Amino acid sequence: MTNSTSLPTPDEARRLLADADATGRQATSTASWPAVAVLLALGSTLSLGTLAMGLTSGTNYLIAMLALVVWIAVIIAFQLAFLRSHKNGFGRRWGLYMGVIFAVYLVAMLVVSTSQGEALLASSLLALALLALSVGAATYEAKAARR
Amino acid sequence: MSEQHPRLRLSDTLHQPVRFSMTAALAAADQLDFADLRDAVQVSDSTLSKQVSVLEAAGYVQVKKGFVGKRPRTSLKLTAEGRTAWSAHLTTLREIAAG
Repeated sequence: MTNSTSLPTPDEARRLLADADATGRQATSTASWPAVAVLLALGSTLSLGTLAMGLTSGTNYLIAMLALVVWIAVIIAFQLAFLRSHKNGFGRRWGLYMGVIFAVYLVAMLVVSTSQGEALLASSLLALALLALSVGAATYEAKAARR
Repeated sequence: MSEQHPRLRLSDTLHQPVRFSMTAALAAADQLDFADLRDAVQVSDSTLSKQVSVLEAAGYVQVKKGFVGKRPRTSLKLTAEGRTAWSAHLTTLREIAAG
């Protein structure tokens, strides 16, 4: 209970409610953009990495795999440094995005590691699936940041 | 006994302007980094720290301190008790706003 002598009038209460809404939106919209960057970077890395590893063999395959690992390390470092604040519900959605993307990625790695550079159709479809999932998730988060 | 006037149900802890803005920002988030909260509320680090302590002592905010590499990182989130108190505070403000 408040003992304050300056208790709000109806007009002040309306202004306070509007301020609370604006502050909440402003605080979380700025915080959401690093997640969009991480999702797009992860999607392009996993998608192009899958394609490169599915279409090559021998030394070329190993170079593609190394580049993929380096990019994943860069993305994880970026995430740790900049993805610091989370809008309501983001933690649950993030777990879902990572679960689905990495489940598809696991299938992709199983296919490309045994294909000897010959799995053109499977690699292309899996790369497309990774692209669609990550762009879909990034689009949802970008829209949520603007709400 | 007559019902309390809505204005008397407002929380002193949450009605203070800086704490009101802090709680509004935290209520919209699962968690906020100290720097993001400071930027949203537009106060100095020391002012924010002082008000965080008040909200933490009231049991409304949970403070988590850690490190990313060698850099200290402080993140804040509203507790369940804080969310309940904030929701009640907003309900009271809506009653006042409705006249």
